[in-house]
Amino acid sequence: MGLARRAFLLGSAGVAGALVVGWRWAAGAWTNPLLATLKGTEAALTPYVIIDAEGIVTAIVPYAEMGQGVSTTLAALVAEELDMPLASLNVVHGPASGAYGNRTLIADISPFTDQSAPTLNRFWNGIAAAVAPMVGLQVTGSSTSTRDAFTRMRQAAATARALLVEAASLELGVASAALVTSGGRVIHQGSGRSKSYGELAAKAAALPMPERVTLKPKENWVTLGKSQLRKDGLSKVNGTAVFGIDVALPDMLHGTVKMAPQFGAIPGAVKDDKAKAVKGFQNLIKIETVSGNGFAVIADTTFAAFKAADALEIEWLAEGIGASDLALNALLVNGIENGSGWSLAKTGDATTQLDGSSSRNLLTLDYAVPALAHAAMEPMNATAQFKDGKLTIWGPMQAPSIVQLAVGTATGLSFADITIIVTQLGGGFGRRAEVDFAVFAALAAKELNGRPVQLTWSREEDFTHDAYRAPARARVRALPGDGGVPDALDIKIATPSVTRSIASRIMPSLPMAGPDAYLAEGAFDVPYQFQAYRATGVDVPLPLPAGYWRSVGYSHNTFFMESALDEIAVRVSADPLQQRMALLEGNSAAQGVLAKAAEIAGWGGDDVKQGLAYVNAYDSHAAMIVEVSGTADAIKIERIIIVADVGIALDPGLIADQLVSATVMGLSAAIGEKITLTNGAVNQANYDSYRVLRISACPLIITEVLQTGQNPGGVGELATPLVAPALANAIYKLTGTRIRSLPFSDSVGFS
Amino acid sequence: MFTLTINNQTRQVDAEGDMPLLWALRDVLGLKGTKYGCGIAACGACTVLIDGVATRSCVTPIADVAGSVTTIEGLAEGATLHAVQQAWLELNVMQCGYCQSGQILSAVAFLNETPEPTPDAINAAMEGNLCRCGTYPKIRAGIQLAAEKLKAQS
Repeated sequence: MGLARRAFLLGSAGVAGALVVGWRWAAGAWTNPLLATLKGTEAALTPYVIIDAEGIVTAIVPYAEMGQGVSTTLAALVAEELDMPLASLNVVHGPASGAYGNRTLIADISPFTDQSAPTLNRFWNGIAAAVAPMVGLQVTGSSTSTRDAFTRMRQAAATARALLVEAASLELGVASAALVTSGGRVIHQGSGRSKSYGELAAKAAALPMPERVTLKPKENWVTLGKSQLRKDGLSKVNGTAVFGIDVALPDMLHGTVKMAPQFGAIPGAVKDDKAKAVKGFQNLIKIETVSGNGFAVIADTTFAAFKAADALEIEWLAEGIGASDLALNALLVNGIENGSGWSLAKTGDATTQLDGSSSRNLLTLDYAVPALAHAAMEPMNATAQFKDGKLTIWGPMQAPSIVQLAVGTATGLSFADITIIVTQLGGGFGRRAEVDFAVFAALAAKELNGRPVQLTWSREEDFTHDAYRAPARARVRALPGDGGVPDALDIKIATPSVTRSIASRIMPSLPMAGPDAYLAEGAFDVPYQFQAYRATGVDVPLPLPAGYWRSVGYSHNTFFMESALDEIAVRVSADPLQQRMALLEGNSAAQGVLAKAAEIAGWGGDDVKQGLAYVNAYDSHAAMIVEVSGTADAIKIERIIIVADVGIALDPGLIADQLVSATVMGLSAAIGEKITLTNGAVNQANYDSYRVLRISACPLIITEVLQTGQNPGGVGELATPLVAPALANAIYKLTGTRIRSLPFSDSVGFS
Repeated sequence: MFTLTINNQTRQVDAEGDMPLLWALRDVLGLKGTKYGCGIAACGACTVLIDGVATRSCVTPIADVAGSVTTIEGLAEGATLHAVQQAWLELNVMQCGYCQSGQILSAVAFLNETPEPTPDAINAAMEGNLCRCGTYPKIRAGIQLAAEKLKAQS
């Protein structure tokens, strides 16, 4: 092998200028996880780049590919700094390692560092402490992947390039400064002599790490900033992409789960003779976890496992459990009426003004949204094998390091004995940041004498055992002022804390007092310059698991906020666009997306009825205009215009795809999605009753990507929260009826 | 034991006759490109062609399969992708990609019958194939591009 098997993270470079940065920052204190698994002539110059003797370069993209194109854009960061065509790079997900920990995620969702009770800091710090030093926080979510990798992966590739150049300098006997890189070679311009990356890899790997590397300036980019063909494209048109349910191992068993229909219920008497009579039946394994109670049903094929699961007769003990969605709503109403919560934003004294006002314009507006399912096309699943004391889990995961933690807790195994292998994700949307599917597979595998098992949930189990976007309510009180700018605005939101709900399934032992940013994101963090403003989040625990759902708190709070602003403007006959512009005075990126959307839509025309919404999230800005025509019984959505300022667009095509994707998901939820409960069990069990948008209902969507910033902003979730308010505002203009409760199809019809 | 023709090959399937074609393909024959989505013909992820007709394999028992089955693995001719696959690739239609085997095979069956598709006809033909990533606008564009490619080929 002849490769240096050592940590590469030497030296102590500091930050010196925007493009000259130290390697230590990029990888933190972690050793290079690739060194343990290199094959043959491979050299891993950094945790993100492997080069073999043939010059094959492999980029490690440690984030989950769930359709957002991360395996393409992050590989492009590597291609750019290595001066190689993106098409020539391989891409792999890489091992679970703290070297790939997501720091942007922690920063994003822990905004209360200096406040008295920083729930999220405690939670995530607790998680980080628990998983250190083995795994770190490797999570794909909160639209952070590109933001987190933008500097780190370019640094990693630039470091690899610097090592290759240094190796060539020694081989060719010329100064590094006289060398350039192109097409996978280091070239001496004076003589034309050159060495391929493959020839240099082993020598480069033995060199000391450079203390500083210089990143290529943006104006010299040849790959970044341009739309690329997806690296995962071919495998997704010829059927070879390996999703979780496609993992195939020798001697593998198949199985499914049959979990308690009511959350928190436990199995009582079980009659399993009919299940055991199903041809191919193998095992019935009891599952008792903080994520749910029930059984794994193991068989020779998935179909036999489904049949056996259907044939099980189980008495579920659900005493005291059995709320309906009406009961959940009553709890939320109580939270609005009586909950004190946390005031996460406060400017001036809004409540005194509102309480003392006798204005006939004083508005009190109540909004509500239902629970939602993720409904990812690939049902929950994982594959696990427990052999010789070691557990391996294959699956579609957004949070492999948290899976490692939760599986360790559930099985009693140490991190070192748990290996996680992440597959392609057949949709994520936050559902695959959960751990239940992997924990269930791990527990089943422990009972199967070394045989691997793939647990595939039926679609019905998937829908009825989600970690749902929780239902939420808000009350907005406002005193409209000149131009629709409110003199005072008070918004109070009642919904469960997503963080607390998730923590109860991952690390129930963590102390979880204090506010959760998700309660009020989209309200406490809006960039509007209100004179008097208060945003309060009330945590209302509900007997329904709450999880991350694309855009999380924004998915409801932006509906509340942007609907209310429209109502305020309407009350004083102001233009909602000019109202936003006034509230965003001096914020050129925010005003820019609004102005561009208005320009594209021809804002103010009367041929169609237009509704507007704006959001600032994930370090990006976006404005949406929805255009409708028809009548209240048959509303036609003519067009949706979405304009986003993403700072720097690393791949304008993939960004536009994400804007469309997030818009369609937001539209689907706004029009027709709703989870309801009867006696504590979810009513919607498949796509026939849970109405996901189909192609004929998808309108023309026009995207525009602006870039006025210095860093890439997040885009995967940005457009989702805009659709409901923009559509509500358009429907009001069309029909004169204000809809404050989702989904819209409960109130109006669509053609 | 059932004898099926899959991707122009004769395959023996040792399974009960009520096993849906989907699970015979995936768990017995190891053809993983056909996906399980709903089990009730509501999402289209499991779509295959039987004698050229788009068929939901999740509700088609193997005992009832009479014709020649084409799955996503059998759509390309050697290394040459079908025009629909090629169009999908050129336009970056796919995102997570899980539904795309079914989308592509539904589109192939549709274009065989409708070489000059209208937007309304595309919507009607593809209504049974869900995509949670929301690739619908690109699916429409992909079908139009594939129609042009097929026309140029003929």
